[in-house]
Amino acid sequence: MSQLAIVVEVDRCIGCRGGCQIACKTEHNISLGRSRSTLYTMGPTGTFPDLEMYFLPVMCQQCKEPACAAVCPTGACMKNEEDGVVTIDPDSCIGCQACLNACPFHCNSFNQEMRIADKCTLCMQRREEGLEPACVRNCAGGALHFGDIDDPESEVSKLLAENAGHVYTLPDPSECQPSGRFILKNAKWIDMMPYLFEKALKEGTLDE
Amino acid sequence: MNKETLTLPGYRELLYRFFASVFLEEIDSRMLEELLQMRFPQAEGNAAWQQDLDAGFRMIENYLHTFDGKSDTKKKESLEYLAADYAKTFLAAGDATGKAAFPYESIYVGTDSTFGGSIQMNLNAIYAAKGLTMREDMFRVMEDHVGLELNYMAELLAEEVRVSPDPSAAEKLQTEQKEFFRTHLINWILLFTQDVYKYAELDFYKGIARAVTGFMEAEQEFFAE
Amino acid sequence: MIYRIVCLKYRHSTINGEKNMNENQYLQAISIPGLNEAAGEKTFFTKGEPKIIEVSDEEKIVSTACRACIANCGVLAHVKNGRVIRLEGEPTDPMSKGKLCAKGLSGISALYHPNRNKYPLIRVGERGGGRFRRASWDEALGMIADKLMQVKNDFGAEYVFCSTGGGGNPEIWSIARFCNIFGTPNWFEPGCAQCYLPRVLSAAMMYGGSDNSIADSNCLEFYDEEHNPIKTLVLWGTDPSYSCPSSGGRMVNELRAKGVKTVVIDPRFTPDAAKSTVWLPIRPGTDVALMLAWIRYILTNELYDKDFVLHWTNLPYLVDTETKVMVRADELGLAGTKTDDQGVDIFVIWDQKSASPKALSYPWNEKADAALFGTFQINGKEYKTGAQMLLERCEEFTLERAGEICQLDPAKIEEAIRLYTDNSPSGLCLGVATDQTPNSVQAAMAACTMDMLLGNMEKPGVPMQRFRISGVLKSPNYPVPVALKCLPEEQFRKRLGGQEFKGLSIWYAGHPGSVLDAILTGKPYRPKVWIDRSGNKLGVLAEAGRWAEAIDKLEFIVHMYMYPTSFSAYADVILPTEEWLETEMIAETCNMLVARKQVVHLWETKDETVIWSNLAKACAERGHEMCQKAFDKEFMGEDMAYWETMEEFFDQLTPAVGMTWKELQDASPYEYMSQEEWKTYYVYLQEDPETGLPKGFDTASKKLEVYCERMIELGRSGQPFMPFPMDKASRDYDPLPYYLEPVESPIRDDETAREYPLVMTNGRVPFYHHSTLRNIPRLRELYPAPELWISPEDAAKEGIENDNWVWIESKRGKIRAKAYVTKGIKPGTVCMERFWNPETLQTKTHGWQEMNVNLLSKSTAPYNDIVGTHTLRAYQVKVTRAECAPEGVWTKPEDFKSWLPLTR
Repeated sequence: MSQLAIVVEVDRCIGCRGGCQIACKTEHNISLGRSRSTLYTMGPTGTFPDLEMYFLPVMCQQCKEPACAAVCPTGACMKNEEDGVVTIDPDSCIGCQACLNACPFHCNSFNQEMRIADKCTLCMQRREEGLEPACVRNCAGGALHFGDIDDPESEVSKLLAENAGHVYTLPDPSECQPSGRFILKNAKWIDMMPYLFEKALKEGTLDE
Repeated sequence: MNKETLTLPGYRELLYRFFASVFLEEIDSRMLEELLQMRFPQAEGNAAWQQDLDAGFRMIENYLHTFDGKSDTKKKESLEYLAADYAKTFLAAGDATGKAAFPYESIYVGTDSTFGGSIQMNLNAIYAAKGLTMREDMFRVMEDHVGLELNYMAELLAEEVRVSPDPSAAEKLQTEQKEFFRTHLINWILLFTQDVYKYAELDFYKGIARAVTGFMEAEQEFFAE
Repeated sequence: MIYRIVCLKYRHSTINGEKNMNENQYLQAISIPGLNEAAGEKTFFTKGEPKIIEVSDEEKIVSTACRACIANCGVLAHVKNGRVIRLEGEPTDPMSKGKLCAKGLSGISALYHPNRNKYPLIRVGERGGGRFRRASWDEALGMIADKLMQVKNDFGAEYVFCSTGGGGNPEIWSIARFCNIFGTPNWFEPGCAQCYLPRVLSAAMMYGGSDNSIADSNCLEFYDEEHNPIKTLVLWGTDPSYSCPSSGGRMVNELRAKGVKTVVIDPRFTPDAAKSTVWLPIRPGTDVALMLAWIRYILTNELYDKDFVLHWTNLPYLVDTETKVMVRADELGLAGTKTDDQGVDIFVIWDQKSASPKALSYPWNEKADAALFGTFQINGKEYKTGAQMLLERCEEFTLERAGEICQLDPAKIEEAIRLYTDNSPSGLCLGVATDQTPNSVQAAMAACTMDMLLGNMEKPGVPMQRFRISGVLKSPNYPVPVALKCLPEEQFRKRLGGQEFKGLSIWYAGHPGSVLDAILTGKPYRPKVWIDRSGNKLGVLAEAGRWAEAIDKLEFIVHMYMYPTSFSAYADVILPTEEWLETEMIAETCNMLVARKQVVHLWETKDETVIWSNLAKACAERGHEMCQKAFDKEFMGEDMAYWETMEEFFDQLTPAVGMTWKELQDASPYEYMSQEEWKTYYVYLQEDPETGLPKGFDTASKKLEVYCERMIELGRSGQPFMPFPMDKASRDYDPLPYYLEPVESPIRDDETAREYPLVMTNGRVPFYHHSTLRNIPRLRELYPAPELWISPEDAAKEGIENDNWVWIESKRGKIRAKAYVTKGIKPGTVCMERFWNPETLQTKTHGWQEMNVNLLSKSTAPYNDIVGTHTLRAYQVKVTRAECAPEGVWTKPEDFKSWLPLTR
């Protein structure tokens, strides 16, 4: 039993949107208007000119207790035993969008053409060929890492161990136990759901 | 081609060649003279193919009538505007919105998620199997250009006419035609002609669009027998 | 991919066995008299032997290089059935190390874009009417050549001018070459004096080695991130994470990750600024004031490397304060000749021991104790050392004064300087920001000065180096030889702006502002023909409105590009150029050569390098003598005879590494030299076998010419760049940097500042390169309209909220953008990137009037004195709320559907 996940060295993300946006969308032929991952701009916060900002690439958190799978009426959305990846079977998904409402991280989207829910599978087809996910392969900043966080000998586990004390997860109000890990050393981690943070920042309602 | 011996396959072949040429080349003054000599029949009847063919022919006639009484200079000018309509309709010339009737099968046929020019490759193999390669002296196009596909049908019909004394050989070619029509024409061309009608400004290409629609519908009926 | 519903369903006509098709009816309906004559034997096939072809689904991988911007990152292109299906970075590329950015990753979208120019097009109907017909290459080139020859014969070749740009797969010297051969001295780039040339010029004049630009693929020392000993990197007016994410951006990221400190000088809080140790949010246009403050601080606190400065710069040499020229020893009777045995001038230093002037023959006078600073009287005339001149130039710029001018905290300025001076080695990299105001060359000079003072030259860790090269490229950065010798002297003298802005001649180029004036006023003559090989000139040249006026006065316009832009709307002939996945080129990347290959080839697009050759041939066929000679190998010699194919062209260059072009493509990326051999530090200390002396620097004095005396000669005669001496510029060029307050400025107490209170600047975003890629759907949905970065304070004054449409107005025009209200932009400053709208190309705005920041910028004087830079940044604007978006623009993701690639 392993848990594949994306580990992000947040300090390395330069917000270029190459790997996590363009490579991902091209690889999976994602239609315009939606994405399997979102690049959040966490900032600037502070008082000019003493500002802070970091970028946060967020894709499916491959939760231990995925809220999406829990609400799926057909079982199309399920967590795979072997690798811990949460996938959606396109044949049995009926497009009810319950999972879209359930995911606290807003990581899934609706594929209009095929009328099914869609999310990151850590590039299932690429993994079958022994390749790493497209975002990891193409991340210009070298921020994205991929591996089994349940295996202490894996590269990502070692990376997490080296950076102990600076490892964060997204807030988890629904107790889904997200597997995504974020390492941040050079800025203060904003313990807010990223989409809520961005919204508040844009609307000027952020309580700093 | 000997006029007296023209039969249905013969005329069908001619029509395929005609439309192929209209899609692959702009109308030049020589072709204009030929067009002005053509007399498009009235297609009577309520079948869709008859109505579309008829509507198309009338539109083409309308357009050709605009040349009545025109001087050579004026004719040349009009042909330039017609060529501009060709470029706009099929090549998106001068346009930056991406909206045109691109005359390629692969644009219209939705495949599964695998990319790859398999349609062109398959057509290349089909043409090559008959010893056919694209002329060097034409504007460079891809194998799945509607004009080439229509031209290919014409070649199959020409072959059928040639071997017609041998019924089993002729039947074999009819089967080939039907198969090609099914897999490389009727699967997309009616969507294409819709777009041609939509994007063309002048009656000529609009008329061609309707006429081709009618022709393809007729062929569909023909092969369904 | 345009998804269409597969039309598989047959409409069966047989119901109950009844057919809708009666064969006789059918025959009657299509028995068209005249059809036989029209269609007869018409066929588009040639008949040959039947062949069985196996269609396989095999995927092959082609190693090539990107050209979505100038970085040329290595690419692995996956190809199946003749279609490119996936792109990823080439792992062995030494600069990008297997990474690509959003722009490169969108290459497939660009390649198969529905709006690609597919064949040559000729205008039908009136200019601007949007009607074009397809033409053969012969017809199109013939038409252009006819016009060129008519204009040349009736008026003169100089009445034809050409332009190019950095976007869209350029081979920049192709234009210079064609112009020299055709006989016109007039070509320009919206770049050149506004982009990179100021830095190239300064590095060439002061050092003779490579400049300090990251985004232009220099500072190659940095790419061995692991072993680089640099401690502090100053990023001045550059944001590599936005301008070159996969090469420079990636590299700076790696340096930061291993603990290198960075200082960022930028009015925007870019990712590089966010990750820096110190960020100085400078008022746009005031960089030279800050640089002079840094220099003053370094000099007055003695933070410079004294030994290096004394021995390896010309700062101890005495300057005649009246003439501003350095005195030569023979003028004071201290030497018998002007130059030494090696032809290097003998200068004068002040010996402190004897309190007298002494001759200094390269490399130095062992016996003298040279003063670095000082003012001296010799034979009744005043002389100062170069250092003294520099110090006095900086006198005004204390930290407080700089703080005032630049709107910065003096304590922060000091912190930044100290990071740079107290950590060795350090390095300073300058970006394009300072190239975009009339203070351009001075900023580049000041930037070089700082690293020179600290001795950050040619040692491990620093940006300015003279590493070895492959020898394949005969011209700088691009391979085509410019054939200077082909341009007759009398034609050369007619270069518009050539006399005043002689610095442009380092790139053989003309001055856009002077061309514009000539067209609008008819003085000294009114050019008639414009051939442009680039994207959207109306989106990138300053003050687009004036250029639109100028276009009206031109007789003939040709546009060579991959797809129609606003500029194409005015063209008479459009020539289709290749996308980067179709072009061939050599990129020299550190110690490797990366070959860009023609992975696929669509339609009848052509590489511009071949188009110019074909055009020259068409002119040759019409009797143009020099064009005829341009095909003569013997006559052209080193300048190469024109070529038919890219292979023919490159086969003449690749023997430098012992290969044919095909062989190099197969071997690419090819290591032409080992890292160890390639990285040659301390070139200046290497012994010159002929003289037994150190090689020194590639300048006239062999020293770093921090006091850049040769600027004076440049202004007076055009030496060392001009092939013929030209009359002098209106005033002498300054050997030292000086500060020029922007002519439109918030601190001036004038009408402009009152009505337009905010300072406008520009800056890159990582999705676009110049005017390219606005039509790539997956990029455009990320950035559908230009953002106007505005501080919360300034926004509040106008009741502007985030995402509102706003009007931005300058003295020259009015446009719209979407407000991005952020603390990440200096209050009092706004920032906007260039933009144009392909979707409104066929409307009356032709896509360049809605959101185009260059409607606001300034094309008129004052220009930079040396290279003629006009004003793209640092001018005044006002911002107010707008009711709505401009008419017809696309902003929603689904709007961009029709741009999805035509690929299967």
